[in-house]
Amino acid sequence: MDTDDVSEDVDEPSDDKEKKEEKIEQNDQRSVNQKTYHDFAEKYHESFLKQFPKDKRDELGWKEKNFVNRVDRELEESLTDMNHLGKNNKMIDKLMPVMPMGKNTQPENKSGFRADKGTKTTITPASKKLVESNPLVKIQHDGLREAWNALPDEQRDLIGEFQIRAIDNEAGQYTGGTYNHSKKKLTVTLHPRANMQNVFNNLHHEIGHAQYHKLMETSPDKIKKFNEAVSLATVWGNNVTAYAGSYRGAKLKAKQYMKSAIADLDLHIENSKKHPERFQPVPDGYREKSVKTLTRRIENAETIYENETHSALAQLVTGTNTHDINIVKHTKKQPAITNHRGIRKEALEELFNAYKELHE
Amino acid sequence: MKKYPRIDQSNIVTLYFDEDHKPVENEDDADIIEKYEFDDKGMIIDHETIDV
Repeated sequence: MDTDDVSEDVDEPSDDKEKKEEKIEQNDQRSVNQKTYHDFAEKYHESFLKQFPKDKRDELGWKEKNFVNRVDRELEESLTDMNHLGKNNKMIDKLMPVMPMGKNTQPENKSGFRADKGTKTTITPASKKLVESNPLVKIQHDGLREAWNALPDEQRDLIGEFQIRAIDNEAGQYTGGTYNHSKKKLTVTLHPRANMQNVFNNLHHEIGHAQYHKLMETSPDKIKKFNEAVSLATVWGNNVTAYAGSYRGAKLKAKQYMKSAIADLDLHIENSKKHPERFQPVPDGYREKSVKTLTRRIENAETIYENETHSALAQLVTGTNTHDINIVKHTKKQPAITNHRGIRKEALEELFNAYKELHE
Repeated sequence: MKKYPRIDQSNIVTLYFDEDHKPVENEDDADIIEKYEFDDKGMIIDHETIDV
């Protein structure tokens, strides 16, 4: 036996060795996904250039031309990022919690989507027609199926209906993904002039919502702890993504509404005491009931931000998105309602730890 | 007689965003409206996104 082998076995505690192996396994799994996604993104960009050749874009209306040019730029940028495994990939890989993805054993249904009997996959006839007739939408559809099929069984099991929607409005605004918890329905929308990577991100983002909702039901204490960790880690900015940060102002807005609504009510109460003939009396208990409702609304607004932060983390851990994150050394001290200044790596690490604890 | 100001007692949080998903103040400026309905325990029971 080689002496080096002996010293390695003796020096490395078995727990550390196990963790290292898990990390390698997880990174392998993510890089397999990244390769798959990269191949689809490349194929998509080629097809996009065929469908919208650069020298023929002047024939499009100005609005559509701008839209197509913007998507083209985004596709090029995301491919460059993907070739370098994402601008923050190394840092994020280092901070990423060791979380095995879980088994992926479910059989494919007739349409090639892995699912158990409890999950149906649907597509409307109009969307199906668009998938069949538009090569870009077809690539998106097939890429989405790959991403869905790469999920662990337990994540697919959260979904009662996985709906694929395809639309083709010229330069129109649309929502990439939604999750309706009461119906357990997850929808991803395909659009021929969208960034391919968004399709993958939208799926992982919505899966994050499904997980969060489920945990609210099954482990409210864990959710409470996660939410507290989010509040602490995201003080003064530190939003995981600009998208998650866009929900931050909801709490402040709810607070401002409460302040002004209760002030108006108090003024009316005062006036009605002085001039009962001119001011309608406020029913007994109405003020208390309103304070309770509006206080709850402030808490609910905060939950929306925490839920979105969870989904942004899920995009990283489950998927491949490292592009929307801006890791910075310092965050500027200002209320991060509309401004996204990035996230400190210490804050991201705290959030990863909270995410891991939530899913253990 | 002046009526007392009514306060919306629903468990719905409504958010307004522009096309880049930046928050905007009111419905008139919004390209996207998101509505979240909560139950009394603070659980999200419904979520609707409307593209204006």
